[in-house]
Parts: sequence; C-alpha cells; structure tokens
Amino acid sequence: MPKYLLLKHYRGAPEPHHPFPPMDQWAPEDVEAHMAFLKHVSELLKENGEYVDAQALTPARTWVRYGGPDAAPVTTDGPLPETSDLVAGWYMIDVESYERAVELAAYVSSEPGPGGGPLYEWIDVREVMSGAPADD
Amino acid sequence: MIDEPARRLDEGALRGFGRDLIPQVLASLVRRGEDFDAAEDALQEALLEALRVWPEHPPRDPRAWLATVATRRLVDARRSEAARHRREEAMYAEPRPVATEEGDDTLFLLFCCCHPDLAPASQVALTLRAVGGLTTREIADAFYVPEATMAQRISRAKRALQGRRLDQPGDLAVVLRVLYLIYTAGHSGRVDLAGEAIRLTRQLTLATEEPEARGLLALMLLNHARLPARLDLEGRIVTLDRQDRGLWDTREIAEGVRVLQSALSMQTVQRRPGRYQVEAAIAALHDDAANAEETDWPQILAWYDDLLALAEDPVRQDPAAVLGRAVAVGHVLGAAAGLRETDRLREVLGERHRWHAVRGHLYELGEELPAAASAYTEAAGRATNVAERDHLVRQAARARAITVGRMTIRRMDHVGVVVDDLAAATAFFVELGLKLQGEGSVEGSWVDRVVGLEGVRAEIAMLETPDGHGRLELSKFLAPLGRDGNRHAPANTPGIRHVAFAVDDLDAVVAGLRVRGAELVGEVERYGDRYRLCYVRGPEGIIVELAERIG
Repeated sequence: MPKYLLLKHYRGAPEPHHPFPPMDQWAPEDVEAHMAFLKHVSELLKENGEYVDAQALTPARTWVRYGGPDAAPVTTDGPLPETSDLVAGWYMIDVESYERAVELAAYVSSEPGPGGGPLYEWIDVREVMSGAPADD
Repeated sequence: MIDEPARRLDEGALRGFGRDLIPQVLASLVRRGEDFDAAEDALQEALLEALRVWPEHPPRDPRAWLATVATRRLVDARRSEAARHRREEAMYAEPRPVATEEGDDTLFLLFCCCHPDLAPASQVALTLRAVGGLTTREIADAFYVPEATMAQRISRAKRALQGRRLDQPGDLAVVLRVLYLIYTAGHSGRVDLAGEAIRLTRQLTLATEEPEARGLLALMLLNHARLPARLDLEGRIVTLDRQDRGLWDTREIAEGVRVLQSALSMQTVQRRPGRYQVEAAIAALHDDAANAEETDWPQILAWYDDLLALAEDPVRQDPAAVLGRAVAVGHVLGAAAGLRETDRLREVLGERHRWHAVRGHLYELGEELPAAASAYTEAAGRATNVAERDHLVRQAARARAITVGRMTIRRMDHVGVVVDDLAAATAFFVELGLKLQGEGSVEGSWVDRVVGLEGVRAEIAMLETPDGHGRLELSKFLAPLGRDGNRHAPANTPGIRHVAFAVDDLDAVVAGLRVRGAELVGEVERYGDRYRLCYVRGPEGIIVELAERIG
C-alpha cells in the first residue's frame, strides 16, 4: 500500500480556481462549516483505515544553512517572493492506489468555503518513498 | 487490602497499587547506594513480575516483595555481567554514604529526577517514569514522540545521573517547575498528565511543609476544576467568560481553596506568598464568581500587583504575569488602560500569539471591533496549537462579522420626496395603492441638526406599499423654503429620478392614473420577455416607474 501526502499550501499553489478571502473574513457559520468538514475528513480517513497522520504548520518560516567552521548558523526569513511555496499542513494517507489518493485529495478540496460552496482548493499530492527495498 | 491474601487483584488495581509503591521502593534502593539507572530498570522488571504473580498470589507486604525482587534482579544483572560491572559491584559492596535523616521517599526521588543538571524535557520524562510509574510508551504518547525517542531520552537522563551524589537536598523550586510543566502539558495529550501532575504534587505536599508546594497543588486543582467546561462537544475552546460554570468541579474547587488557605496561613511579613500561591489566589477568584460579570476584577488586579512585585523586572522576567495583569487592568480601569499596559510588552511578546489575543480581547472589551478582529487575525497567524489557532480564527471572523453587520445597512426603509402640495401627492400615491401610515409635522433643533438647515418646519406623510416592505416619505417644507426643483426634469437628469412599483395589470393602472391627470413619459415597452415597463409623470414632476411581470 503506497503512502501519500496530501499537502495544503498557504501559498505557491496554482492559480486558484475560485479566489476567496482569508478565513477570518468569512461569515462565522462558514468558518464553523469549514472546520467541521476538516474534522470529518480526519474521522473518515480513520474509519476507512487510511489515516496515518495529519499536521498543521505555522506560517512562520526560517531558512537555515551551515555558517562554516566556528560560525553561527546563517538564517533568513526573507526576503522571498510572495509566490514561493509555503506548506500549511498535510494529511498522510495509506491507500490502495494513486487513484484513491487523487480521489481523497479532490474530496478534501471540496471543503466548504465562504457562502457554503466548495473551496476548490488545490491539493498537492505527493507519494512517500517506502523505506524498505522491494522484493525481487 | 494488603492483609487479604485471598482477594484476587485485577491488573488495573494492581498497576495503580504498584505505582503508589514505586517511589518508596525506588528511593530505598537508591539510598542504599544503587545506581539510579539500574535500580529503576530492576524495579520496572519487578513490577512486570508482580503483574504476573500477584493476581494468583497476592503478597502480604507488597513493598517488601517489590524491594526483594528488584534487589534480586540487580544482583542477577551483576552476576551475569560481572566483568563489565566490576565498578558497580565494588559500589554495591561499599555503599555510598546516604542521608540518614528520615526524609520522604517521594521528595528524595523528585530531587533526583529534577536534578538541575538535566534539561527540562529530561526532568519531565524521568519524573513521569520514575516517580509517576508511567511506562515509556505512555510518556511517548503524551508528548507525541516515537517510543524509541522517549526511551532514549530517559536512558540518557538516567546515565547523566550516574555517579552523581544523590544524597544532597535538591532544589524544590526546580521540582515545582517540573511538576507544573507536566500539568500544563496535560491538557491536550492522550495521557492524563494533568491528573498525574496533581497526584505527584499532592504526594509532594505530604513530604514538605513548603507553602509553595501547596500553592502549586491549589493552582492545579483550581484550574483543573474548570477543565470540563474548557472545550465544547465539538472540541472547540470556550473562553472563561462563556464557560458553563455548572460544569466546573466544585469538589476540586473546594479542595483547592482549602489547600490555598493552608498555604497562605503560613505567610509572615518576611515570608510573602510565592508565585504559585498568588496565581492560585487569582484562579480561586475566577472560580468563585457565579458568572463572568460577578468576577472580582479589583481583587484579581491586587493579586497581579503582588505577582509582579515578585520580580525585579517583570516585563523581562515574567511577561506572562504582566500580560495577565493587563487584562485585569482592562476590566478595572477600562480597555484603553489595559491596552496601554500591553504596550510595555510589545518588544518582549509582540511576536507571540497570546499578546495579540489579549489585545483582541481588550479591544473587544472597549467595543472596538475592527481592531479586535485585526488583533485576533494576527494572533491566529502566530498560534502554535491547532485548537487555539481555530479558536482565534473564529474570534476574528465573529468580530469582523459584527463589524460588517454594523457598517452596512440592514434593509431599505424609505425614499423621501419633497413636494409642494402634500395632500395632492398623498392622494395620488394612495390612489396608486400605497397605504397612508401616518401624517404629522416636525420641527425643533434635532431636525435642524439632522437635515443641516435652520428653523425647519415640515409636514410629512409616510406611505407604505401593500406588502409592507417599501415606504415613501412625502414632505412639504413650510420653512425654510427650498429653491424650485425642476418639475420637468427628463429621465436622464442626474440625481434621484424615479420610484418604481411592481403592479399586476400595467394597462389598468395607467388608465386609472390618466383619469387623475398623470401622463406617460414615453411608451409602455417590454423588457425582454420578463417585464412590461413604463414611466409615468406623477404629481410635481415625480417620475413613477411601473413594472408588470409577464411570462
């Protein structure tokens, strides 16, 4: 069974199918519906036996590199282009097939947005490499 | 129970039972000079053995049983690896000097586990395992790390203690801090760390007279009492002011207050209450209020003043206390004063979500909802916990929705038309089917100020459409007199130009109006296949549009 990450992005996704304002500007009932849906997705994945992990990341980012011998690490949090990739979080799933991963990603993307309609959010589907070599 | 050998013990009871004995047995081994690491391993093995044996053969003295079995394991371990463990063997033969006074085992073990040389994460893990008796798996689950990682952390901590003299009195302040760390970590995890922290702190209060230990126990109990109300059924955070106080645990509150009083009764002029007692007092005041409005904020503020007085530079040393005080200031002296207090913390806490969340709360208190919404948004972007982030997004959306609701109109109320002959204009619209809602005259300084004219006197008729959703206000100004309007203004003249009404039978209405002297402005026309429309010039040049829905 292959594992996949379904990544949500703060930014860096393709042109939105349907532009929408940030969630804190939605009607409170739309916010509730959205959060309830995400909770439901986790529960559904667990019930299906497809759930591995789900995490959210804060939007703060620091790039770090080795500073050289006897030097402090070099860090930067910018300036970066506004379009640079910024991951917001993920579901890790363990599923039968790539098709099933795509199906679940599309379901996540149907999450309700402002006004109650689907958000059409782009979901980044990535396969996780398995640790063990395959049998010959 | 100990004296009832016939009684079978189930595993749950046994684990709970064994856990209470762990500190005593482990302490006796370590005091005897055993290495902490080896003794702890041996005791865990003895406990596993107990789980196997006790249900069938309950011991008469469980403590002695565990000590004997653990000792046997220690000796076995040495014999089987005699060469590698020569050093330990020598130590076993020649035990290190140990403290002779009868201290409490729990306290002694806590000092070991909270050794100042250990990192806080190691102190916590070791305390939970060695004093709390939790399995490595349980501790790993509580902190969401793999079991192997936690096992490594614990064994490194135990190795770090090897060779150190563990007979010196430890630092109680560190122990209290570690216990509080365990308590605060316990709100979200799968293992009830909060309950574990309370259990350990209760044991500690039996071992020391230190009022701060009681203060910490009181603080935990008084906060823990509110836990059942802190989340709703959907797992959403409920803020203190909105919690269902009927869900609070009154028994825990009562115990917390009792413990706090016993701690405070020990204070003297030289010995002021420490921070845990002060924080417990603040928690007690919250718990004491029957509802949010009855909260005794002035007294809470006074306790915060005491809390700040404990630090030389509270802004740098205890910013959380300064932030908590800012909320109290907001409730006592007004939101603006509270916000000014938070300004002092901008440099220290300005990048933390809690600083922005508190400012959101204070702005809301001051009914500055747009600012509150912005502050909550800032806070949400900095939150490091999903439940808190979601809560802050909700707060922002709620504050913004109220703001938008207030900044925009609710519905159409009426359109005003100034006329010369009020009676004729009123009659025209009544004939058309509007209902006369009321007539009257207005004058006075309030009217002058609203309309921006001086010495206004006007007569007014208010008319309502039959469905009650639209109204027309006709007014005749007696003073001051307006300039002549343009009664023949064509339909494209800038300004409000017409009022429109839906009718069922356009031709019948037009015919009726013609009788009253009204004329079509142009012709009756179709708008697509949905409406028939026309403009009629009514009294005083008012253009009335009529629309009949067709199809």
